[in-house]
Amino acid sequence: MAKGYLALVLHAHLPYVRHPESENFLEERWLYEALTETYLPMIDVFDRLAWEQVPFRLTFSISPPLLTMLSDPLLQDRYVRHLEKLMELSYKEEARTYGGPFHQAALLYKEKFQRAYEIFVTRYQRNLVQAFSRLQRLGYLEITTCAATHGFLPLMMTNKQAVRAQLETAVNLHEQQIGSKPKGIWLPECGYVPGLDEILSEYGLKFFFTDSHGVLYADHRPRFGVFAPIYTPAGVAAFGRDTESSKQVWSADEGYPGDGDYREFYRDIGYDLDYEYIKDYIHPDGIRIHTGLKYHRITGRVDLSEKQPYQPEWASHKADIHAANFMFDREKQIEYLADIMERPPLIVAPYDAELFGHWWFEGPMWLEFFIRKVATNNTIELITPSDYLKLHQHNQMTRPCQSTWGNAGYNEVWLNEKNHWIYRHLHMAADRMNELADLFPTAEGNLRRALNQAGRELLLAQSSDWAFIISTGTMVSYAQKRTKEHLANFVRLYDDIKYCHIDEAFVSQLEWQNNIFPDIDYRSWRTREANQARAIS
Amino acid sequence: MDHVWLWLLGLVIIIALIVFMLPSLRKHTTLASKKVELPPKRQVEEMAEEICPVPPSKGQQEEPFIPHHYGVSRLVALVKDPYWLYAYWEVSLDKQKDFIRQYGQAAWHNSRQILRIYDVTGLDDRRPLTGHSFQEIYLDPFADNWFIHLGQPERSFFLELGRLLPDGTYVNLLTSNRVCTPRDTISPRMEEQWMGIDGIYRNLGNLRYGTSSLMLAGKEEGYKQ
Repeated sequence: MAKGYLALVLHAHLPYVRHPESENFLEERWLYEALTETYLPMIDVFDRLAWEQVPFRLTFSISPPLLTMLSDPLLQDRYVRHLEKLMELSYKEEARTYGGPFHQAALLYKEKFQRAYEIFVTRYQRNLVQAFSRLQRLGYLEITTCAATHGFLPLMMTNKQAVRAQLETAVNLHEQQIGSKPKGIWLPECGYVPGLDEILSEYGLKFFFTDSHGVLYADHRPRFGVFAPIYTPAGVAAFGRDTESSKQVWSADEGYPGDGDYREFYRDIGYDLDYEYIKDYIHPDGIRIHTGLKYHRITGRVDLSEKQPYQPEWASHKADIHAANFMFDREKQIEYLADIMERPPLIVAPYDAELFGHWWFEGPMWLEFFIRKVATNNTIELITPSDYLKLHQHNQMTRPCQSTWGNAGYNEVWLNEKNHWIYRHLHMAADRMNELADLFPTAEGNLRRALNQAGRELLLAQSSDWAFIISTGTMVSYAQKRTKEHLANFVRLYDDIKYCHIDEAFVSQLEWQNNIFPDIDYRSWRTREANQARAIS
Repeated sequence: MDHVWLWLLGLVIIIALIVFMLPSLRKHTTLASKKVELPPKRQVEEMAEEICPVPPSKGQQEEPFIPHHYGVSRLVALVKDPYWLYAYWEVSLDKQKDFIRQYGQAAWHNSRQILRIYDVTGLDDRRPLTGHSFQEIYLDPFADNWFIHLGQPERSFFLELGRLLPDGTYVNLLTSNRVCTPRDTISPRMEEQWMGIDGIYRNLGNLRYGTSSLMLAGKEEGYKQ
């Protein structure tokens, strides 16, 4: 029997960036890039391991906006076109780089895109949700949910019904798409605040994750630190992040992804090559963008112009070494902890899924090497939170500390001098949504459509991504525009509904434009008092 | 003879005019005939619009407008981190009028906007809101939000927005929700509480002489499982 457990957790999320009005939105490319570089390579790895019957257990959280986009026909079609274009470019590149230092890398991309096409189109008929739910059915993945639009819940708690609507919408969509109710949740940005646990338990969610200090600073002090889950007063389990294993993968300086042999993200042929040659593969307005074909390695701390050509064999050799190193370190960590704890220690290692493949190109490869090594290891066993809670039902009860995994560990990233203005609007919109839902216990026809759309606009405005982007300073105008757009749509819908002049054309246009959550129910925002009043009358 | 020349010139001009006018006259006629065909085309367009609404025109793509004031009085407190709070507020016109009715127009202009922070750590939520202690912040006259440095982790607070009249009288306008700052270190409280295990205490009362463990285990199916 293994001496301890490792719970690898990958959190996959993108904001809802579907733009039916035009194919040329740069932001929609976030999805295409993540598909080519992260989701498809990951599925490739998992499918291969499953095919070869290599045992593994992994937790994969898929946010509802991502789930919706993965199953959206318009985006699926657009992605196929995008991929075909990439394949065309890779054929040209194969010829252009022939005999040069970049040829090996060019061939690598050619194969990669072909493989992506085969998995996306042939194996899964364009719908990757099937791929993920299949891996869950086969017992390799445990898929958890997230809040409906990745809303930042700690700053939403002034209106608990708004939090409930985020969770209810998410749980319903998850069940519908994946085929079973989620047992656990990835709290957006790991944002936990006391009282949230009660709401989670209302929706049958049995566990969530926090950053290290969410569990370490719990009151009273947890006996096993982050190496065993704790139960909140509401009976929901909290799993705290292990700092050591996180740092090895996350840190830009000490982490694996910064190694000189790995691929350099910031040298892309979209910027490097002649405009005339590359113009068909960048933005139609001539804006230079990342194509995804990057031929240099990180090399070291040198200027971008001094980066050396990428050598695929070196990189894969390094990924193998790093996988072995990660396993060795976890082994030592577990052996040490197992000696001082009276139960097998649990190491929780959560990462953004998009780190693997998109930022750290060799990430999926590293993961495959690691899983294969662990399969034959006697010290470490891969586990998911549900499995752990079945094995160890009785855990310490204490109160986790309010925390996030953002910079400084609290709410600063989502509440600072740059983005604080959004909350007065978000809170007002949420309160007004309660008011509308309470006003109309059973709406039909256009009124119902307008109410549901108001709910969609509110949820989309609440996405934590906008506050994050405004705070970090890249693509600020897009994030501001999205926040204001959804809020403005909400304000108009609210007025139209309240003063009984619903403009059907406007509702139709919004339903077409922001079509997330087809089965949304505006009654998710009904306050408890209103529900009680109805029960009495 | 002179007249004949003049007549001829006039004729030429008239002919030239007719030649120039003809194409435009023809256009008129063709347009008129095209108009007859228009209705069916329009119908097709209408159908298409219903299935796929036209995206908003360029004019609509400017920064969307959202109101700054909603006409609702509120003071909302949020936690930024263990040391900082944030508050935003809106004093509605009605609220302002109430104040003016009671204290006069001059009092509104002469008084200062202040924020009171009450420490209510350990006090019951349902009790009327009063704190152990409070501190005051003198605000900018036009401020409608503030980052508040307290430096006190693991405490509970609520806020009041009020106005300080020239004679020192404090008039409360708005009261906020209650917030708790998070801990910033490991808890000194070590006592542990563990989940109970169902079934351990279940059979205590059933122990009598002559009952075997097998019987006890058999009695309780849950225990057996």
